[in-house]
Amino acid sequence: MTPWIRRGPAAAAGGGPCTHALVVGVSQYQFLTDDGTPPPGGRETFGLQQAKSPATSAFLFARWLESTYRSTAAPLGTVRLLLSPSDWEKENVPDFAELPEEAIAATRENVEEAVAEWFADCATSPDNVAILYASGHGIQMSPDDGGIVLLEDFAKLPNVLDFSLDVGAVRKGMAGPTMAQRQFYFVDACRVRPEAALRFQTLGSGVGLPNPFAGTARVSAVYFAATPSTEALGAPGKGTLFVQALLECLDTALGVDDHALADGTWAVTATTLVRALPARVRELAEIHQAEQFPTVGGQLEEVPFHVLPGKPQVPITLSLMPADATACAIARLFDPQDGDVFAGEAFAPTIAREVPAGNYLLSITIEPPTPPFANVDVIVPALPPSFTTTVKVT
Amino acid sequence: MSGTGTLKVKLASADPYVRQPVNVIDAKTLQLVASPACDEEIELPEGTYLVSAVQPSGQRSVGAIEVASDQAAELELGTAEAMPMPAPAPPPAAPPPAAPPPGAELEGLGPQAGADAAPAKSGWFVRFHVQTRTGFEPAEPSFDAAASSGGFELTVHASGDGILFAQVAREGEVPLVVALPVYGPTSSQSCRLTLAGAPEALTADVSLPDNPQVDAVARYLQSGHLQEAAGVIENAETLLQQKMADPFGAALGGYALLRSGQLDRLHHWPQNLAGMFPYLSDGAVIAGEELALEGDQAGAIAFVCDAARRGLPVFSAGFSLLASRLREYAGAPATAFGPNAALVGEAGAHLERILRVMPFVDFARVSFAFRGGEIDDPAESQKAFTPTDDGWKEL
Repeated sequence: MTPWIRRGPAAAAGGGPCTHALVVGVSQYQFLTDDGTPPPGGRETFGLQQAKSPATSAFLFARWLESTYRSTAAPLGTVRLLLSPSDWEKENVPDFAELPEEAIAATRENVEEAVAEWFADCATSPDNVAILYASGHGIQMSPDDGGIVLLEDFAKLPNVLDFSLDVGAVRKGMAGPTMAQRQFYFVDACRVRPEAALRFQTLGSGVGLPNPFAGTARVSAVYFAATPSTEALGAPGKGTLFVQALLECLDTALGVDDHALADGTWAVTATTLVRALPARVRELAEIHQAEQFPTVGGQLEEVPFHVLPGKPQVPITLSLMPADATACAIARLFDPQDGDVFAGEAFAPTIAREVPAGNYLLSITIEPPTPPFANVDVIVPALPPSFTTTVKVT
Repeated sequence: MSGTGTLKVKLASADPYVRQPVNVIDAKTLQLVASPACDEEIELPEGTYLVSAVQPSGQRSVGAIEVASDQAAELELGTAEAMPMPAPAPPPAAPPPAAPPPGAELEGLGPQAGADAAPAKSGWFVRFHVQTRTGFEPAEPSFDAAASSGGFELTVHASGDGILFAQVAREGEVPLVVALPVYGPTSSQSCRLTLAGAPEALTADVSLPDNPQVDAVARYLQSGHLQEAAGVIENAETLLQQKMADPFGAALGGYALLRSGQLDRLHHWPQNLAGMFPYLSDGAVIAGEELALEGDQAGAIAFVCDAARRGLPVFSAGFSLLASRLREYAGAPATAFGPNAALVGEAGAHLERILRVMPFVDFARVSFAFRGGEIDDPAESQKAFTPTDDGWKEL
């Protein structure tokens, strides 16, 4: 298949280490009905119905890779994109009006070929980075499986899981002396074992890779949208909660540590995502008055996933004590080297801004002089993920 | 000419027995300069530093301090008097909408969860078992029970050899079995079990108020603060060398180091943990995982099989690692294991046994927990609980 993105030659062809991504999103299922009723022909489909958000999510992530992803050690090399958008998405999500021709349907045959080619690219240098994102209906046959995402032709034959992507089996096969030693897997799907599946010892096996028994990669982090036996949720038109949270973590101060790396850059790392991503997914679910419990597995280490182009923007919230002082307090926030961030700002009753991560001085002036309130200078250590302070002005 | 001074950071709300890590950050470059434990004095070049710390609860404190040449600076984080006063919970970077947008109802990406759960009725019940090398036996540790919001809090006091499991139940639900890190010669002989949960969603959270260091590691792990978890236990090996050795704390420290990729800090003490506490599966799991990650598969399979022979681990991370390695080794060529080639068959047998428990495990908790009416056969006992005289006590 032709990758949606190919930048420069692979390491084996004289290029340097690269990031190779495989992105799969399935909303449209050939053998599912719109309402979950059994399809004709007695196929076992676990009561699943057409979806409206996984393909949107996969495309959001792929476009983020294309436009924003930044790795100093292994710049983006290829993105293979397999999308099966639903009719609803084609009609309601503007991005799907004109899909790139390299984005092919996420069927078993196509995914198998894409996995093999992605594997070959990743295996060109241990300094490569491998990224796999898969979104769609998911099931769980055993709590330690690494995530099973159902493909567009799921249930084509009685061995229904032959038409799935077995992320755990792919991950186990991503080994060998020249294999990318930094691997990141995002499994954006449910992990519920359907009641109907309890009747079967096996229902087939999904797309995977042979396990060479050659040891695991140095970093092989797996971010699951859901813990075993729980659901992942999606908002049609906006993508899954998982991808919404993931992109927030990657684009804002949410996903970075509270300090720069030794080279002065700011990065979202394998371990900062462990802390930030599940927490943000849970928050988004709460906003929808729902519950979702993401989890993390695999082999982790403090290595960068995405390097920010500059300092992260840190949300700061400033308020006064006593609150009465807001009527006569004027704030100035400045960096002694770089100058003012803002000046002459009133509290109403708080000041909420985003500022580049840094160490600032906040000068509060009482105008006109109003005893018992007094002018105050304080330090504002604006470190990620956010900073909130109440300044005493008496 | 610039000199150096010293800095000591105190955490106002810190437990005196927990040496929580703090980040000392250069205020100009915003790079990490040091990660000492709280109350530890460190030497720094003179300058301005930002200091941050995360409590095991997830509460975050930030402050700033000037370190002058030949001066001892001290900063207390998290006090009401400190200026500025950081708030505990970070708000999201972009304020979310107050309510879901119209037409954006959520869809589930798979079959509905909880299909097998039975309707809840009323009543809380508990009984205990101890896992020895020969299997499970009934146990009767002393415990205090107090009603709490939506459930109960049990304080369990116990000592002995083996792993203690509590089994809790409500009428109409499948009982929940939870490993308690409190048996054996630990520095703490009691733990707290908090029972709660909506109907059909019984939960049991384990905490160790008498062992704040281990409790802190567990809470850091639960919230994904891996570096902090590894940082609290400066040297997990010392937990084995103390007069009251703490194998559970050492095991949890081992998992924290494995999880955060700090293999160099393990330097094979897990083998001592495995040797000193033969009833504790976790020690052998960690020792096996360390060897496997180092590429010594022959040594690893010996520990992995040993761990499986010992029974169920205390921590869910141990069960997960054990299952994963057994699955890998059971399907591997025997030639990969040199003198331990014969263990491949044994790994397969252990895997078969483990897989019978696997579907019922709650991997979201730090303590190992699974649902089942019979502790030694959860697969055949996924039945709604009805009170019997079989060791159950009503709270």
